[in-house]
Amino acid sequence: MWVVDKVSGHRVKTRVVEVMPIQLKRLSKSDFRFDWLKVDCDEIYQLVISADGYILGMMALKVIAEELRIEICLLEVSASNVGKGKEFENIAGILLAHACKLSFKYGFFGFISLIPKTALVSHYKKKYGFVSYGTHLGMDLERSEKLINKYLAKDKS
Amino acid sequence: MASTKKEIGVAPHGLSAAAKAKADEVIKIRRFKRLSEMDQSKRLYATLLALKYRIEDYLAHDIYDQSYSFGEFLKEYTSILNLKRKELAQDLHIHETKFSRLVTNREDPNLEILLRIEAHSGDILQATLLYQLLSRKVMAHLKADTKMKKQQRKLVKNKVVV
Repeated sequence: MWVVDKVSGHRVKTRVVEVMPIQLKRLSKSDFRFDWLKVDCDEIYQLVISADGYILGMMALKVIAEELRIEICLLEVSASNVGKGKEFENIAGILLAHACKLSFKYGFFGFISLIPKTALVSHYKKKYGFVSYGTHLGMDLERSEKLINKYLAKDKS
Repeated sequence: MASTKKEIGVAPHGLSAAAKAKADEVIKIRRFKRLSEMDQSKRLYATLLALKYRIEDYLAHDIYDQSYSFGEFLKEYTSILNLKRKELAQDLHIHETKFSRLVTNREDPNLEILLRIEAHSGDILQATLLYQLLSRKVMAHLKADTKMKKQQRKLVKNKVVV
């Protein structure tokens, strides 16, 4: 999977790694504004640049096995990748697609959900293909597969 | 401000406990409804995708794990489809004995068999992916089998001197 350098247009190889709570203490507060140590979740993942381990984004998940559902509790893109001067594209998309892939692997049919801020509902629907489940947004099956194919493709170098 | 928020990602939901519980109840009901409406073909499709993703993840790491051998894959594929080995062997136009040898890893599949599985799985499990699975075993074998290496070296004449 790749992120795109906004300036050069070059693609940079990345990987998603699961992190333990103790590793979160080393998280730079200038890069990530949410308090990741206080997140109530089951699994936390980081998107890092493969070559040097530089952290581009973080995602916290709750695994709700009885509903065959993964809830994205928190997803944050590093400060240097937010706004007009951001370095890389696709960070949030890769993390969401990773959650979809996990959901398939857990036997949840690719179902993921999240609760967005009201102002962002249409953005999530339009950009990633979410649909409304009341206050939650969710997706599964073909929509999740589409997201995986879009953001986790590893064929090109 | 709105565009910056979009790029940050998913913020804490900020709902009260009661509002969150209500939202969770709604999605739970709709989720179960969706699951009850999901037909067998969709379930099968998702299960095969899950198998594909597990193989992809295994191949992304530079290790050889016998539980990801071609034989184990074939066992799981048979199980997902809820078929008997004999039935899948017939579907793939393979003799039952050969199929049994593939399942027990006493024989490796040729490219034709990989292409047949690709077609049989509705192109979800592509031959190129299965070939990589097979290659991983061959690579491990080439690295580990020093006895074979020694035997073959004895047969070589006029080695290039560097």
